[in-house]
Amino acid sequence: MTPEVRDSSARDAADALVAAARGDQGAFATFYDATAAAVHGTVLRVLRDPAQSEEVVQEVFLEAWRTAARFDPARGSAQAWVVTMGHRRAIDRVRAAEASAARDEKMGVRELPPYDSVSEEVQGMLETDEVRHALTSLSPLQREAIDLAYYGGRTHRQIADDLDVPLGTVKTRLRDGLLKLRAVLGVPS
Amino acid sequence: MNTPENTPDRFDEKAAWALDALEPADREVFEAWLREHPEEVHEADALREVASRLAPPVDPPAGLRASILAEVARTPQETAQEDPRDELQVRRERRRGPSRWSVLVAAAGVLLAVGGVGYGLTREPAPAGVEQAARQQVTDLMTTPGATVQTVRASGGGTATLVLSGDRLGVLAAGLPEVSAGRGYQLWLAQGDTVSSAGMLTVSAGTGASVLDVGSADGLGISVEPETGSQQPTTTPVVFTPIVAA
Repeated sequence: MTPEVRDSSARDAADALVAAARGDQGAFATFYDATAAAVHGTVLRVLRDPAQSEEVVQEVFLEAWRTAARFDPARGSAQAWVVTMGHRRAIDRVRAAEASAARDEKMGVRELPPYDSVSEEVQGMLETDEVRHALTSLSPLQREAIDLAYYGGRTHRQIADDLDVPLGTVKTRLRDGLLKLRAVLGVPS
Repeated sequence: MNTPENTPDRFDEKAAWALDALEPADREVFEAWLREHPEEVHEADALREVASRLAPPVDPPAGLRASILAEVARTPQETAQEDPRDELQVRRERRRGPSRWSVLVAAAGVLLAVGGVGYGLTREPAPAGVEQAARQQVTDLMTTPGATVQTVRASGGGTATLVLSGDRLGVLAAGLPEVSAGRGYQLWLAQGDTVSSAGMLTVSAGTGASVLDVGSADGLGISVEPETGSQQPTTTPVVFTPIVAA
């Protein structure tokens, strides 16, 4: 997608969401059509389970409908708004599943399931040249931290434990990595 | 806890926040910090924008769209001034109340269909993108095999064209009179004795398009209402027509 096309479709999605906030169901359908694949792709990437992902996408769009009036175009794109909702719900599920698995462990011992590296799988799944190109601009350590956080649903403290590095190091890797992605993807400041 | 490595450095946490990598407690602290540092909001939002593009898009299952839109049609929205109990009350009344639809239809023959229609003030033009997208969807519907098309006159002037394909109903309005400021055209679906809102029809220069999930509805209405929409029609519909299936 060229930046021009993205800009124009982003405006359409935002316009549609603003109209949907006033009760316009047709506009909400337009908003769904413009953003559903991005939401579903994100949720599926995190949960890796089609049935659960479908459930989450449904929850997310109903939440988007109910709370459309809270969308503030000045704070970002309509797509980022709804993808963020989807991502958060997806990782909430991952963390809840981990927590319940942990409760099943011996009392007091928090044994999280070992994180299975998804980097290779991510590499294979990423169809978007733009994103693939952006990710290759990261150092392996930045890439690993971002994979663990965004796709794996690990918190920065968990990542520090997983990798046995200081928390400050994880923050720095996430920050430098995301700033690099921002530059490559051309998200304006 | 306050070793140099984990002393909270909120600036550095923007990326972790954008990636949803903060524990809930950390997130609350960070968001409180962000509210006190409005100059940092833009940067945080930009990083969130980046994060939201990191997964490849994957089309959801085809049936999901209809199921979500059907749920949307019966899900009330939050508004800034809404009292949830009022909304509940309204919904109860709507469910058990007698239909006003047949009354309206009966009245349509004798009343002038001018409720709220005025010619003085021009409304803000509709967002062109939304209108175009809906128009494109209606056009696409027309080309689907088995679609039925009917055009009816609106009582205040203009026409409405209905395109039915499966349970999708495209509505294309043309030549509708301008309404006064603060008012708009609202779509209604009727099923037997019940009428439910199908959202506002965004009309610009007299034309507007919308695609509805028709479900088992058998009638379509368009009436002039406050632009925030009404729970039930409050003016005589300018269009009321049975939906003709193939």
